[in-house]
Amino acid sequence: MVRRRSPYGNLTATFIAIGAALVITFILLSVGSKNPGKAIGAFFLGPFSNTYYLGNMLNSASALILTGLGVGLAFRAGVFNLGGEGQVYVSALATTMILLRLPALPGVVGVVIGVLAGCAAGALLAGLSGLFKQLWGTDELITSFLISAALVPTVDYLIIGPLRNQKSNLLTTKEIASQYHLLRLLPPSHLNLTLIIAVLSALLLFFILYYTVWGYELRLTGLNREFSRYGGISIGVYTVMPMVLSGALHGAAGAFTVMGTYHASISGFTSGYGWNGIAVALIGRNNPLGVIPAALIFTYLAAGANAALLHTDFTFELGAIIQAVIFFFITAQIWVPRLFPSRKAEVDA
Amino acid sequence: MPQTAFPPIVSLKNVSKLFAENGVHAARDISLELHTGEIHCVIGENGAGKSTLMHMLAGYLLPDYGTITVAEERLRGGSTREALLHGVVMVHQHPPVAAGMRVWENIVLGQEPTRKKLLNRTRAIRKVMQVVANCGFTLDAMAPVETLSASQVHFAAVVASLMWNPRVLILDEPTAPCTEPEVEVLFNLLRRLTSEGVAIVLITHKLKEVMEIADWVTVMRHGELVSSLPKEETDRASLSAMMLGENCQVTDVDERLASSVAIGADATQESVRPQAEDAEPAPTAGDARLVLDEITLRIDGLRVLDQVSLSVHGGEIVGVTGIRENGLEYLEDIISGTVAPDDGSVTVDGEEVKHFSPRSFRALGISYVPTDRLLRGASLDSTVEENLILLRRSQLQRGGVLKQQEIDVFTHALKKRFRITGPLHQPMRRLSGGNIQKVILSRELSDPQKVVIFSEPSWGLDIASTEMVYEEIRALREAGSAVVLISADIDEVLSLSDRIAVMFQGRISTILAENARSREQIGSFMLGIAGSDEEEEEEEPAHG
Repeated sequence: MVRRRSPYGNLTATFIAIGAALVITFILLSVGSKNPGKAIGAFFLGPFSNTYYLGNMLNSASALILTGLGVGLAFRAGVFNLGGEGQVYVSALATTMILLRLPALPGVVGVVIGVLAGCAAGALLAGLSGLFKQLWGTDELITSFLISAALVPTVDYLIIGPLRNQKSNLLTTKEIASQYHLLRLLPPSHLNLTLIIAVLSALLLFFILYYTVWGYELRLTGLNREFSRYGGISIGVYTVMPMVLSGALHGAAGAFTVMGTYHASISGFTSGYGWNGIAVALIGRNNPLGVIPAALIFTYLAAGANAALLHTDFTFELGAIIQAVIFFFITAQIWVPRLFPSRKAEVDA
Repeated sequence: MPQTAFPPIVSLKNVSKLFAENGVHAARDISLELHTGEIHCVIGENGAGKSTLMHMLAGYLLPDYGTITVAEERLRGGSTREALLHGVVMVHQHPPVAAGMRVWENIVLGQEPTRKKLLNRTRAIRKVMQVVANCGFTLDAMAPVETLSASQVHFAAVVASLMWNPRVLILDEPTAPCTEPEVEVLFNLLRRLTSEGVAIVLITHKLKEVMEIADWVTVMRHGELVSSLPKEETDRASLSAMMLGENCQVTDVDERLASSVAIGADATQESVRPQAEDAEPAPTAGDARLVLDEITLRIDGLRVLDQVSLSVHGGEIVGVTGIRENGLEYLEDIISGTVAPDDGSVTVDGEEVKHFSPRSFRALGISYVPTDRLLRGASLDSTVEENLILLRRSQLQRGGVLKQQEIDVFTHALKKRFRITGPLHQPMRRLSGGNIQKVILSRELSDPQKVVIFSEPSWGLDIASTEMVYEEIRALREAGSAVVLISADIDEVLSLSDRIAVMFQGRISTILAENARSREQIGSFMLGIAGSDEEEEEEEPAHG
């Protein structure tokens, strides 16, 4: 079938941009290091040097796939969820607390309850912003951010204070029972079932967005609310529901991080998942299938910087610069065609 | 082919443009000359390539091939800045506005008078007011741009273009949203500009206007230049023959309209009219399907609709006309469910509407072709197919999953029936204005509805498309639908409607039956000269 050009977006151009960014990274590393060969090797090959690095890289990518899907889904519907940080963090704590209070249940039951608790917490937080927008027209971009910003320190306080495991040296809650730990796929790394679930979620979301009436209405609302209203689509539904689902996906990221990786809530342990999810959604063009490679690239760069940091004279700043360069290229290639729409035909063709 | 002894100000040589995405030759090997002091009309069907050609001249598009020379300097092309510096300015068919700003701010954009690098507000406003007054437009420079009517937006864009002191001024269908007096003002301005040495290009569909104002006429069809000749050497019949192609049987709509107005009834349609004999304003054929009862709408304390009552029967076309700003646009919002009235009721087939939303109106069986096609009528970033299936989405699915085969069958049938050109999987944005309207029409008419509302259905359409729309509207009447035709175009309303309601200052000042009306009579009601003489208005109802 020669169809559906638009859903896949122009991912080729995105990867060309990433390629250009990598070349610059190469140059920066050569200039910024006393031993460029070693730095470049550590940066590009470090993440693949052993199963521990590789597994942990894939594990961070799985959480980012979930948050990236959440952000992208909201974007597609024309609403903005900037509260990812708080949603992941609160959900992670909610999952931990529920699982700590559960009686000894079979593992599967506990895991399902844990995921549901996390999703519910995230859905509630983001859903509030959607509801406020629908009821009073408040800007969900601001309310989601503010709610999140208020809750992050609150969760910090709970973990450090009332819920802290006094026996640990870390600022952490008690550990959840071992039957609720997710299956590890690549020991000794943290890689676990989350990766499979994240990829399946992306596939499911892609199907929903492009092959169902629901997805059609959601995308239409995101592109032109006036038109959707005129066509008899309930705008309210597609204001609140995408926020709820976006929150639920962030909540799932929090829940899986607890059950798969840390088995407890540690102060600040999900920091960055929300913001990086926005970056991942942007790189993936808010396309569920684009989010998977986007998350992989994102974590690869972070892991490469870490590896280079550990093994060479590579500095933290250099890692940050390289990430910035890559973002610059990617956002430029997203915005340039929009700024010069009449030329787009030539660029695309 | 030299047109006059003087060298041309603009000369296009062998200009071509292929849109790779849909494989359409929007312009093919076109050579054309424009001369100072002439009004050059470019005419053609929808999608004939008129706008594309002029977009290349104005630098919005880079030609694939060919050269553009302005005042004997060859342009690199594809740069609006370069075109502006050479004095080539274009006013678009749908001029973009910077919402949330005032009229003068929109007008001086890019040409802001400055004092020590800061915007000189006073000078800017004064200059805008001067130019507006010079042009003869009624336009409040201080008004927020959202309050402008479609024609005023065009005027503002014309004023903005004059700020650049153009040598070549291109206008893309500037008269589409205008009333006749407004067209007169605009044409007087254009004539004056030519006498001041500006070369003017006027893209239009309306042959009447071509014959009135053109010095030189260029006809385009399917991206090719059919003919370019002085107006004196041609007439309306041959122009429309050239626009439509040799083998087309041509009936000039404008002329036919004129004759039908003179007779008082459209002779070609007489035989199929169900109630031609009925002289009373309230026809007996069919039931009242749509009833508006004392609808009142207040905006900022003004009664923009004042106790409007109207009933439309099955098998009847009721035209609602008036000069813009007299409530037509608010009536459109009410009977489409977009806005809820402050007072009064709407009844569809005996059932009173309780909840005003487009969704509930559609559920009651009302189709609606809106005035605002680009925002309300279409999703420009969605594909043509996605635009077409909007109203059928619940039938074209099973268990929530869209059935692609059935979608293909459905959309291809619409494409064929309404002669939509281009692939169905391109974004709507790529379509010409006329093609967009065809997509909207085909979607709204894909299911036979009890009530169909048309607002300005033929704006920007060429003759063949307009005729197609009119046939569809008449077919709806035959099928027993109640049709409301909201249009500021008297001729359109006269040729189609069984009854005509004329709006003036938020009220329906009169409803005229078919045999009791003339163009002049309607005109006098539109201007408030006849009819609404009962009492003086205690509050100013109309907006602005």
